[in-house]
Amino acid sequence: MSPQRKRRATGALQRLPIWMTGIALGTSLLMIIGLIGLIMARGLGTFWPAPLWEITLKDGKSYLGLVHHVEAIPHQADAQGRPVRRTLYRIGNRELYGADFVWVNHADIVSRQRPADTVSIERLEWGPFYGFLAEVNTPAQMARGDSRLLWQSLRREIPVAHRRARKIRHMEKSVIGNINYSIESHRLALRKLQLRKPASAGSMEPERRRHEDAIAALQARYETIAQELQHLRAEDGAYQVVLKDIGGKARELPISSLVRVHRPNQLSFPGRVAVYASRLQEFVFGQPREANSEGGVAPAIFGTVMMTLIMSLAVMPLGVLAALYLHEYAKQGAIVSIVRIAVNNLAGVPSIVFGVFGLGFFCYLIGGTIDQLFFPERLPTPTFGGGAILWASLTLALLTVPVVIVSTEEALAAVPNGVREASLACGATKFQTIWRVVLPAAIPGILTGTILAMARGAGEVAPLMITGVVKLAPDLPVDHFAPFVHLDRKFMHLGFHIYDVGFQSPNVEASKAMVYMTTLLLLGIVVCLNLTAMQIRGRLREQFRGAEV
Amino acid sequence: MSTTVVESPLPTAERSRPLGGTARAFRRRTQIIDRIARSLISVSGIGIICAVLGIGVFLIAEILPLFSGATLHPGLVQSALPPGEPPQLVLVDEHQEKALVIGTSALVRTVSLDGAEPPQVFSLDGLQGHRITAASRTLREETVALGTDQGRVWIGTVALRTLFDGSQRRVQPSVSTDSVFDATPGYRITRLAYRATGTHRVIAAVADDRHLIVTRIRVQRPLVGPARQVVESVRVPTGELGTPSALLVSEDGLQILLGTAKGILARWRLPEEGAPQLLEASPAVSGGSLTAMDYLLGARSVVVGGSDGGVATWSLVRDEERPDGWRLARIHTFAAHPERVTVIAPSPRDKGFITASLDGTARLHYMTSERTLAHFMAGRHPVAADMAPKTNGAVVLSEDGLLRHWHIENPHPDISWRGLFGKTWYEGYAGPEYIWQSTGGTDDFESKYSLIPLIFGTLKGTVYALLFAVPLALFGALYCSQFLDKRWRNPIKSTVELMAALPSVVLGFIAGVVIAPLVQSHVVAVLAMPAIVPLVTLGGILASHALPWAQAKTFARRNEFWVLTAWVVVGIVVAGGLGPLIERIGFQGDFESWLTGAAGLLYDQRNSLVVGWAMGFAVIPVIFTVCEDAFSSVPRHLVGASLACGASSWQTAWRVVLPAAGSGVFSAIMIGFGRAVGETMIVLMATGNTPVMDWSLFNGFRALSANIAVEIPEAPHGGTLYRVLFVAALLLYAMTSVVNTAAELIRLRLRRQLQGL
Repeated sequence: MSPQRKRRATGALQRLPIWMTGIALGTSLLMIIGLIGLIMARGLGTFWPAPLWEITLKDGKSYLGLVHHVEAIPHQADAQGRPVRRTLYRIGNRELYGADFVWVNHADIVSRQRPADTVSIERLEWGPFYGFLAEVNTPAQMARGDSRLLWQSLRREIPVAHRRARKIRHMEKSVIGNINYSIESHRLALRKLQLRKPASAGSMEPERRRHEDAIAALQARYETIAQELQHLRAEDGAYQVVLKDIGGKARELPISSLVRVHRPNQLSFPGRVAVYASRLQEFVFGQPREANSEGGVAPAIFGTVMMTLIMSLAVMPLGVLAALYLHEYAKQGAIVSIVRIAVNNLAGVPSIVFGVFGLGFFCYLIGGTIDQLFFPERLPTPTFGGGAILWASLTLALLTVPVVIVSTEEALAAVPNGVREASLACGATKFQTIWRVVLPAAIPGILTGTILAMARGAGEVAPLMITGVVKLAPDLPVDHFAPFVHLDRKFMHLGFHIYDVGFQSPNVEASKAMVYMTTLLLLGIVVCLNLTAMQIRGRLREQFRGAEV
Repeated sequence: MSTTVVESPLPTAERSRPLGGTARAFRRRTQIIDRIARSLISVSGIGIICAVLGIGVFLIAEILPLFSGATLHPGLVQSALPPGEPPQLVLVDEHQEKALVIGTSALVRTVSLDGAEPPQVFSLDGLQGHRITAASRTLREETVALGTDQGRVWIGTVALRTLFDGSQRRVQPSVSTDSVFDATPGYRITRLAYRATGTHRVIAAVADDRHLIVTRIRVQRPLVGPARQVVESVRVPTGELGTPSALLVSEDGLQILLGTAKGILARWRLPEEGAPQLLEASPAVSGGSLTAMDYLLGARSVVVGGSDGGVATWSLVRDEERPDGWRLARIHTFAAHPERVTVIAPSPRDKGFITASLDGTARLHYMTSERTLAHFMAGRHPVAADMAPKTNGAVVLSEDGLLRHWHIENPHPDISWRGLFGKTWYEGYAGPEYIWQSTGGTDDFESKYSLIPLIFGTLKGTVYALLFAVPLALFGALYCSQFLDKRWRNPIKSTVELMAALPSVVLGFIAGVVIAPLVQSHVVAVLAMPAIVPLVTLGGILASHALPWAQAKTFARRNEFWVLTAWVVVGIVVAGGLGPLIERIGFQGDFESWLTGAAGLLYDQRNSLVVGWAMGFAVIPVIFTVCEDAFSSVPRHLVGASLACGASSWQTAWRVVLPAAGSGVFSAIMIGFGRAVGETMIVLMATGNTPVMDWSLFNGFRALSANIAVEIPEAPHGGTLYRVLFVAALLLYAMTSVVNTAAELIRLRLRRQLQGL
């Protein structure tokens, strides 16, 4: 061995422990890249329309479905010692088969093909339907036979049917909703009258009469609208489509209940892109369907954003005030150091503890008191005395206030003392100095803190679960009824959506796709917020490095 | 931190200069604004900080009522029976409006507890000319049995019922006779016990303080003809056990419990046919007699009071050596009365009971928590007592016919420090255990609130998370700060820090839904990875060093990390491939059944292995960041000096940098510990949430945090479970606060140390 090679060999051996530490870093890096990659791969792929396979098995059974998952059966091997593989097909048609999925062993398959005229139908109930068109029935015509013609007439009818469905939904939600809301508010007013002192009972009589009359009138209006609605529904019921599954079983559906139809085995590439875009659009802007396992997450996005906004509205002034006091006004000494450590500590207190505090303090103590003082007529149904978006936001504000305090203090400390002294020397008061000189310089730091707080808040779930998040909120916290913003309402949240759909859903396998997309969305929001905060912080540091010179 | 406004004098130069009116006004305004701002900021700053720190105070305030014991508010004391008539039985209604009292005469009297209504009197049929000498009553049932001096037994309904006419509430006594028969004709009944079961009724009576007679009444319904009562009487030989002094019939009517004047507690079986069988007899009161005895709710435990004033509860415990597989064992003991116990009144709602003694001392106890919640005086020689159906009141009747009434406030009798943090012996268990089980199916289910399994679960999860995360984060940080090429340092640092931002619900979902099944099918490969991956990587990188293009030194150093990472990927793939092979060679092809067979462990899909991995995600960035900070702040001249002395870069890192930053590393691990302890969503989603207590890597656990998340939505506000969950929250708060404060102090010390260098 030449001396040179020998030296190189010992050099390499000397680096062995270093490489060991490198492995640790590499593994950490791979973990995070792998996780994000996994979520992206599973999430982004779910909306892409996949081909529908018709499979015939040895025992004569045949299925029509999408390939969901392929695996080798553990601890099994065929005669040649190769692993036995099987595929999980999503066969849909839950009302016909009971289950959405079926495992098929590769060894059992006789034939596998992609019939051109299959349709994939997403509908309001029972999950997707995979099969063939048999009839399209409208009051004007009854089409059957040729699949191409059927397809065309179905495509023609769907937008019309959706228009009818929208009208019905408008009647149900807005018109009847308004009436119900008015009746409810009159009822509450009546109850409020009852709760007042009986001494003035006589003087309240006309008012009482007025409310009762109003309720009667509203109820009468409700009756007429209900009749009209019934008429509309009957009319809508006349438009039907008949579908057949692979085994020839027929299923009749109202056309207005179809959400999206396509023929996956005939789609061109732009067609696939269009289906993907349409699904993505429904996901972001649509309402959830089927116990949250299909449709969109718009209310959850809305709830998350609104909660985060209320939280940052609360956390920014609070955090800045506390930091200003700690850094500019308080006499620096042992007590302030202790307070600083305590605030720092608070950032490490588990979020669930804040949740418990929020439930006990905000919901039950403060909310309960508000209810007794201002909403006695609604008791025992709580108004503010239960979970509410306001309490959830305040709980998270408390949870994240240390982040803002710490980063604001950092920013205040980074403002050179010379600048302060210059301002004071020019005759400015302390507050003027802070307001005009120190705070403007510290704004990037404050922003960083707030954005970090928002990122932490948007990703937290545990404290929200007990202070106001629900799996399905009937109403958004903002609507057209006065006072328009209802901070006492419960709300939906992306993070809780993941927990709920991923773990509590009756059909976990079918809803996985939705969860991956929701995860991706939440991850996107949180990572973006964090990256923004890092950017601002980085720029801030550079700025002050410049200022100090 | 003063909030007072101090008059700040103007600079002399300015004061001497004459000022225009507007300028002066402007200056005044500015100063006022300054003062207002100062006080506003100070007040709100202090307020916010206090509010934030007040969390702990609020948690404690919510917990305190758990341990406050019971408060008794005495009501009226009134005479319930004519003078000279000793009382036998008393009972009180749900709303504590009235009490029913039975003395020796065949009369039932009502007593209005607020003294507002005159007493009513009802006579009992079939007891004319008899004196009542014994009474028996069963919890939650309206049936009462009375025994007389001539051996007659009266069975019937004696109850107070609440009726509503409209919104008006009225408490109405209901007295009716069911059957009357002579059980021990000619002998005085001194003790009586009665139980009705589905098929028959059992009456046990002690005649003349000597003979124990058990009578069974069965109703036979022949196919034709009227129903017929079959009465069978049998004498139980008590012989050398002593004079019978207390008597109970078990819930199924098949056993008799007897206490004697020799202090012995005996248990007999009553077979369908034939003579009673003595199952066991054990000394319950040493050196005295057993004076009072009653079943607690659920009729599985008995409270026993002795002539020495001692109070204890006995329960049936499994014992295979005994003839019927059960053994009576004393499981809880309570503070003794000064004199003999005369009355025991069990609570109809929980495992609480009242005992009273001859000298008038009375106590409210709770069996499971072994707490004596209240002490009060019930008058000399109490004879009968009853607890209100909602356990919020009690009445005690003393020998002289005086009826005393108390309202009881007793919100959390079943909680004690010992119960929360120690082993508790529950009914039906073979011994004291740590159990968390807050809800159950049956009516007389007893909630079990031991926090130990949850604390254990939290620590188990934390330990596995740290075992996984600390080596990766610590060595990763060392590599990143000491050996990584400068160009890559910042982006890689940021990426690892970004890991901290991953919402834990995402980690929990991935761990529970993707990783758990994956780990289950590749468990051997996963377990082998810590060995295989480094081997493959090191071998790989040594091999790549032999390649000609890697010998250009700059290239090798600059891209070493990426080459390493690539080999790590290869290592993982190799481990995945070798997994089945190892499984076939070492574990007969099926690890799970090997585990069950050889080690006796069950494999849960959502187990500590998965949780450790997922929590690693949450903990690695925290430890990494703090460690990296500590390593980077080690002064460069130390490193330079070490290298100049001829140490290799590894020797420098290991012997100089690591020790210098030692306390930083320690504080990083503590902060990581704090993070792992409080993690909620990951443990909630990636474990089975069963409160088991073992260290097995292959099953789950239930952590404090996840437990709170699961149970607090179901816990009624102000209830016991609600407050116990606050204890759990406070525990988490305290744990993380202590650890984080320690970590912070250590970090500050490190900073000072390094500044000194």
